[in-house]
Amino acid sequence: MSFPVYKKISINSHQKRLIYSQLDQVDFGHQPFVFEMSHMITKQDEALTNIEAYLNEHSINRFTYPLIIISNIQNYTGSLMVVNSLDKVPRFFKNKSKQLSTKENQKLKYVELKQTHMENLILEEFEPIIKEYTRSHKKIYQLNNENEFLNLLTKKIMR
Amino acid sequence: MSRKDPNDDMIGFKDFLDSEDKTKPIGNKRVDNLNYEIISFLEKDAKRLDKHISLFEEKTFMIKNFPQDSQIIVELETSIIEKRIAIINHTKNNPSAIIANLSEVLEDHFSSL
Repeated sequence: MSFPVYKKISINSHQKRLIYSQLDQVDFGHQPFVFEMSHMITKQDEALTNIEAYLNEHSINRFTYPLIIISNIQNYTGSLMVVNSLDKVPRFFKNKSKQLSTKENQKLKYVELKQTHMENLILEEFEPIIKEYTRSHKKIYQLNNENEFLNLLTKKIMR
Repeated sequence: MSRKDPNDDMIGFKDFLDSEDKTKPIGNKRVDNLNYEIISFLEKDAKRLDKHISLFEEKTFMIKNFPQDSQIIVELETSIIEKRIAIINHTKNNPSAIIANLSEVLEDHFSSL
Protein backbone atom coordinates (compact mmCIF):
# COMPACT_ATOMS: atom_id res chain seq x y z
CA MET A 1 0.00 0.00 0.00
CA SER A 2 1.69 3.23 -1.12
CA PHE A 3 1.01 6.60 0.43
CA PRO A 4 -0.15 9.01 -2.32
CA VAL A 5 2.75 11.47 -2.23
CA TYR A 6 5.24 12.29 -4.97
CA LYS A 7 7.68 9.59 -5.88
CA LYS A 8 10.72 10.90 -7.65
CA ILE A 9 12.19 8.82 -10.46
CA SER A 10 15.41 9.84 -12.09
CA ILE A 11 15.51 9.33 -15.85
CA ASN A 12 19.12 8.74 -16.79
CA SER A 13 18.90 7.83 -20.45
CA HIS A 14 17.13 9.04 -23.56
CA GLN A 15 17.18 5.59 -25.18
CA LYS A 16 13.79 4.04 -25.78
CA ARG A 17 14.83 0.58 -24.56
CA LEU A 18 16.18 1.86 -21.24
CA ILE A 19 13.27 4.22 -20.62
CA TYR A 20 10.74 1.48 -21.37
CA SER A 21 12.44 -0.97 -19.00
CA GLN A 22 12.59 1.72 -16.30
CA LEU A 23 8.91 2.67 -16.71
CA ASP A 24 7.89 -1.02 -16.68
CA GLN A 25 8.86 -1.08 -13.01
CA VAL A 26 6.62 1.90 -12.14
CA ASP A 27 3.24 1.18 -10.57
CA PHE A 28 1.14 3.93 -12.15
CA GLY A 29 -2.23 4.95 -10.71
CA HIS A 30 -1.40 4.58 -7.01
CA GLN A 31 0.64 7.69 -6.37
CA PRO A 32 1.85 10.77 -8.24
CA PHE A 33 5.22 10.57 -9.97
CA VAL A 34 7.88 13.13 -10.70
CA PHE A 35 10.27 12.17 -13.49
CA GLU A 36 13.47 14.10 -13.05
CA MET A 37 15.49 14.62 -16.21
CA SER A 38 16.89 18.12 -15.77
CA HIS A 39 20.30 16.63 -14.91
CA MET A 40 20.57 15.17 -18.42
CA ILE A 41 22.87 17.39 -20.44
CA THR A 42 21.52 16.51 -23.89
CA LYS A 43 18.57 14.82 -25.59
CA GLN A 44 15.96 15.66 -22.97
CA ASP A 45 13.43 16.15 -25.76
CA GLU A 46 14.09 12.65 -27.06
CA ALA A 47 13.64 11.18 -23.59
CA LEU A 48 10.37 13.10 -23.23
CA THR A 49 9.13 11.79 -26.58
CA ASN A 50 9.94 8.23 -25.49
CA ILE A 51 8.08 8.72 -22.19
CA GLU A 52 5.06 10.07 -24.08
CA ALA A 53 5.21 7.10 -26.46
CA TYR A 54 5.37 4.63 -23.54
CA LEU A 55 2.36 6.24 -21.82
CA ASN A 56 0.32 6.17 -25.03
CA GLU A 57 1.29 2.63 -25.97
CA HIS A 58 0.46 1.25 -22.54
CA SER A 59 -2.68 3.42 -22.07
CA ILE A 60 -1.41 4.64 -18.72
CA ASN A 61 -4.08 6.24 -16.59
CA ARG A 62 -2.96 9.79 -15.84
CA PHE A 63 -6.27 10.94 -14.38
CA THR A 64 -5.91 9.27 -10.99
CA TYR A 65 -2.58 10.85 -10.09
CA PRO A 66 -0.49 13.41 -11.95
CA LEU A 67 2.71 12.61 -13.74
CA ILE A 68 5.11 15.52 -13.78
CA ILE A 69 8.37 15.92 -15.68
CA ILE A 70 11.16 18.10 -14.38
CA SER A 71 13.10 19.24 -17.40
CA ASN A 72 14.83 22.27 -18.86
CA ILE A 73 12.80 22.05 -22.08
CA GLN A 74 11.17 25.37 -22.93
CA ASN A 75 7.82 25.91 -24.69
CA TYR A 76 6.68 22.30 -24.45
CA THR A 77 3.20 21.84 -25.90
CA GLY A 78 2.53 18.12 -25.40
CA SER A 79 0.16 16.30 -23.11
CA LEU A 80 2.50 16.03 -20.11
CA MET A 81 3.07 18.54 -17.37
CA VAL A 82 6.63 19.81 -17.69
CA VAL A 83 8.15 22.12 -15.07
CA ASN A 84 11.71 23.27 -14.58
CA SER A 85 12.04 22.70 -10.82
CA LEU A 86 10.52 20.71 -8.00
CA ASP A 87 9.16 23.92 -6.43
CA LYS A 88 6.70 24.28 -9.29
CA VAL A 89 4.91 20.95 -8.89
CA PRO A 90 1.43 21.11 -7.27
CA ARG A 91 1.75 21.32 -3.49
CA PHE A 92 -1.19 19.05 -2.70
CA PHE A 93 0.85 15.86 -2.94
CA LYS A 94 3.89 17.28 -1.16
CA ASN A 95 3.52 15.36 2.07
CA LYS A 96 5.97 13.35 4.07
CA SER A 97 5.44 9.62 4.04
CA LYS A 98 5.84 8.06 7.48
CA GLN A 99 4.56 5.29 9.73
CA LEU A 100 0.78 5.59 9.80
CA SER A 101 -1.53 5.07 12.76
CA THR A 102 -4.51 2.70 12.66
CA LYS A 103 -6.93 5.48 11.80
CA GLU A 104 -4.67 6.81 9.07
CA ASN A 105 -4.30 3.31 7.66
CA GLN A 106 -8.09 3.00 7.51
CA LYS A 107 -8.28 6.23 5.53
CA LEU A 108 -5.50 5.03 3.24
CA LYS A 109 -7.39 1.80 2.60
CA TYR A 110 -10.43 3.87 1.62
CA VAL A 111 -8.25 5.88 -0.79
CA GLU A 112 -6.90 2.63 -2.19
CA LEU A 113 -10.45 1.43 -2.76
CA LYS A 114 -11.10 4.55 -4.82
CA GLN A 115 -7.86 4.00 -6.75
CA THR A 116 -8.99 0.46 -7.60
CA HIS A 117 -12.35 1.86 -8.71
CA MET A 118 -10.54 4.27 -11.01
CA GLU A 119 -8.34 1.46 -12.31
CA ASN A 120 -11.40 -0.61 -13.19
CA LEU A 121 -12.92 2.18 -15.27
CA ILE A 122 -12.26 1.84 -18.97
CA LEU A 123 -11.02 5.35 -19.54
CA GLU A 124 -10.65 4.91 -23.30
CA GLU A 125 -14.45 4.84 -23.48
CA PHE A 126 -14.87 8.14 -21.66
CA GLU A 127 -12.02 10.10 -23.15
CA PRO A 128 -13.62 10.78 -26.59
CA ILE A 129 -16.88 11.85 -24.90
CA ILE A 130 -15.07 14.35 -22.70
CA LYS A 131 -12.95 15.60 -25.60
CA GLU A 132 -16.07 16.14 -27.72
CA TYR A 133 -17.74 17.94 -24.79
CA THR A 134 -14.69 20.20 -24.46
CA ARG A 135 -14.61 20.91 -28.19
CA SER A 136 -18.31 21.78 -28.35
CA HIS A 137 -18.03 24.06 -25.31
CA LYS A 138 -15.15 25.94 -26.88
CA LYS A 139 -17.37 26.45 -29.93
CA ILE A 140 -20.25 27.63 -27.72
CA TYR A 141 -17.90 30.11 -26.05
CA GLN A 142 -16.77 31.51 -29.43
CA LEU A 143 -20.32 31.70 -30.79
CA ASN A 144 -21.53 33.37 -27.61
CA ASN A 145 -18.76 35.99 -27.89
CA GLU A 146 -19.79 36.71 -31.47
CA ASN A 147 -23.45 36.86 -30.47
CA GLU A 148 -22.71 39.36 -27.71
CA PHE A 149 -20.70 41.51 -30.09
CA LEU A 150 -23.59 41.52 -32.57
CA ASN A 151 -25.98 42.39 -29.74
CA LEU A 152 -23.84 45.36 -28.84
CA LEU A 153 -23.55 46.38 -32.49
CA THR A 154 -27.30 46.14 -33.00
CA LYS A 155 -28.01 48.16 -29.88
CA LYS A 156 -25.57 50.90 -30.85
CA ILE A 157 -26.49 51.31 -34.51
CA MET A 158 -30.24 51.07 -34.03
CA ARG A 159 -30.64 53.62 -31.27
CA MET B 1 -0.40 12.83 61.95
CA SER B 2 -3.13 15.25 62.91
CA ARG B 3 -2.56 18.08 65.25
CA LYS B 4 -4.71 17.54 68.26
CA ASP B 5 -6.49 20.90 68.25
CA PRO B 6 -10.10 20.39 69.35
CA ASN B 7 -11.25 23.51 67.42
CA ASP B 8 -9.85 22.30 64.14
CA ASP B 9 -12.80 21.43 61.85
CA MET B 10 -10.56 19.30 59.65
CA ILE B 11 -9.50 16.98 62.46
CA GLY B 12 -9.51 13.37 61.32
CA PHE B 13 -9.90 14.37 57.70
CA LYS B 14 -6.28 15.63 57.56
CA ASP B 15 -5.07 12.17 58.61
CA PHE B 16 -6.92 10.72 55.64
CA LEU B 17 -5.44 13.28 53.24
CA ASP B 18 -1.90 12.78 54.58
CA SER B 19 -2.16 9.03 54.13
CA GLU B 20 -3.07 9.38 50.44
CA ASP B 21 -0.31 9.00 47.91
CA LYS B 22 0.51 12.43 46.41
CA THR B 23 1.63 11.13 43.04
CA LYS B 24 -0.96 11.11 40.31
CA PRO B 25 -2.16 7.75 39.07
CA ILE B 26 -0.68 6.84 35.70
CA GLY B 27 -3.44 4.53 34.54
CA ASN B 28 -3.82 3.62 30.87
CA LYS B 29 -2.94 6.95 29.37
CA ARG B 30 -3.14 6.50 25.62
CA VAL B 31 -0.48 8.27 23.65
CA ASP B 32 -2.39 9.93 20.88
CA ASN B 33 -0.23 9.88 17.81
CA LEU B 34 -2.98 10.88 15.41
CA ASN B 35 -1.72 13.35 12.93
CA TYR B 36 -4.79 15.09 11.61
CA GLU B 37 -2.79 16.63 8.79
CA ILE B 38 -2.38 13.19 7.19
CA ILE B 39 -6.00 12.21 7.83
CA SER B 40 -7.17 15.47 6.30
CA PHE B 41 -4.90 14.94 3.28
CA LEU B 42 -6.19 11.39 2.76
CA GLU B 43 -9.81 12.55 3.08
CA LYS B 44 -9.21 15.27 0.49
CA ASP B 45 -7.56 12.76 -1.83
CA ALA B 46 -10.51 10.38 -1.46
CA LYS B 47 -12.88 13.25 -2.30
CA ARG B 48 -10.76 14.15 -5.33
CA LEU B 49 -10.90 10.56 -6.58
CA ASP B 50 -14.66 10.50 -5.92
CA LYS B 51 -15.05 13.54 -8.16
CA HIS B 52 -13.06 11.80 -10.91
CA ILE B 53 -15.23 8.70 -10.61
CA SER B 54 -18.38 10.82 -10.68
CA LEU B 55 -17.11 12.60 -13.80
CA PHE B 56 -16.35 9.37 -15.64
CA GLU B 57 -19.30 7.31 -14.50
CA GLU B 58 -22.22 9.72 -14.10
CA LYS B 59 -21.47 12.91 -15.96
CA THR B 60 -20.12 11.28 -19.12
CA PHE B 61 -23.23 9.08 -19.18
CA MET B 62 -25.43 12.20 -19.05
CA ILE B 63 -23.31 13.99 -21.66
CA LYS B 64 -23.42 10.99 -23.97
CA ASN B 65 -27.13 10.24 -23.67
CA PHE B 66 -28.60 13.69 -23.15
CA PRO B 67 -26.34 16.13 -25.01
CA GLN B 68 -27.35 19.79 -24.88
CA ASP B 69 -24.44 21.36 -26.69
CA SER B 70 -25.65 20.71 -30.25
CA GLN B 71 -28.97 22.41 -29.50
CA ILE B 72 -27.24 25.40 -27.90
CA ILE B 73 -24.91 25.70 -30.92
CA VAL B 74 -27.87 25.66 -33.33
CA GLU B 75 -29.68 28.35 -31.29
CA LEU B 76 -26.59 30.56 -31.17
CA GLU B 77 -25.89 30.15 -34.88
CA THR B 78 -29.52 31.02 -35.72
CA SER B 79 -29.37 34.07 -33.48
CA ILE B 80 -26.10 35.21 -35.10
CA ILE B 81 -27.52 34.82 -38.61
CA GLU B 82 -30.67 36.77 -37.67
CA LYS B 83 -28.64 39.57 -36.13
CA ARG B 84 -26.31 39.78 -39.13
CA ILE B 85 -29.31 40.03 -41.47
CA ALA B 86 -30.88 42.70 -39.26
CA ILE B 87 -27.65 44.71 -39.18
CA ILE B 88 -27.12 44.41 -42.95
CA ASN B 89 -30.70 45.49 -43.65
CA HIS B 90 -30.43 48.38 -41.25
CA THR B 91 -27.14 49.59 -42.71
CA LYS B 92 -28.58 49.32 -46.23
CA ASN B 93 -31.50 51.53 -45.27
CA ASN B 94 -29.61 53.92 -43.00
CA PRO B 95 -25.99 54.04 -44.12
CA SER B 96 -25.19 57.11 -42.05
CA ALA B 97 -25.90 55.41 -38.71
CA ILE B 98 -23.18 52.79 -39.18
CA ILE B 99 -20.66 55.38 -40.29
CA ALA B 100 -21.44 57.50 -37.27
CA ASN B 101 -21.28 54.72 -34.70
CA LEU B 102 -19.05 51.97 -36.04
CA SER B 103 -15.78 53.49 -34.89
CA GLU B 104 -17.18 54.01 -31.39
CA VAL B 105 -18.54 50.46 -31.23
CA LEU B 106 -15.31 48.89 -32.45
CA GLU B 107 -13.26 51.01 -30.07
CA ASP B 108 -15.46 49.94 -27.17
CA HIS B 109 -15.23 46.29 -28.13
CA PHE B 110 -11.50 46.04 -28.79
CA SER B 111 -10.47 48.16 -25.84
CA SER B 112 -12.34 45.74 -23.56
CA LEU B 113 -10.48 42.70 -24.92
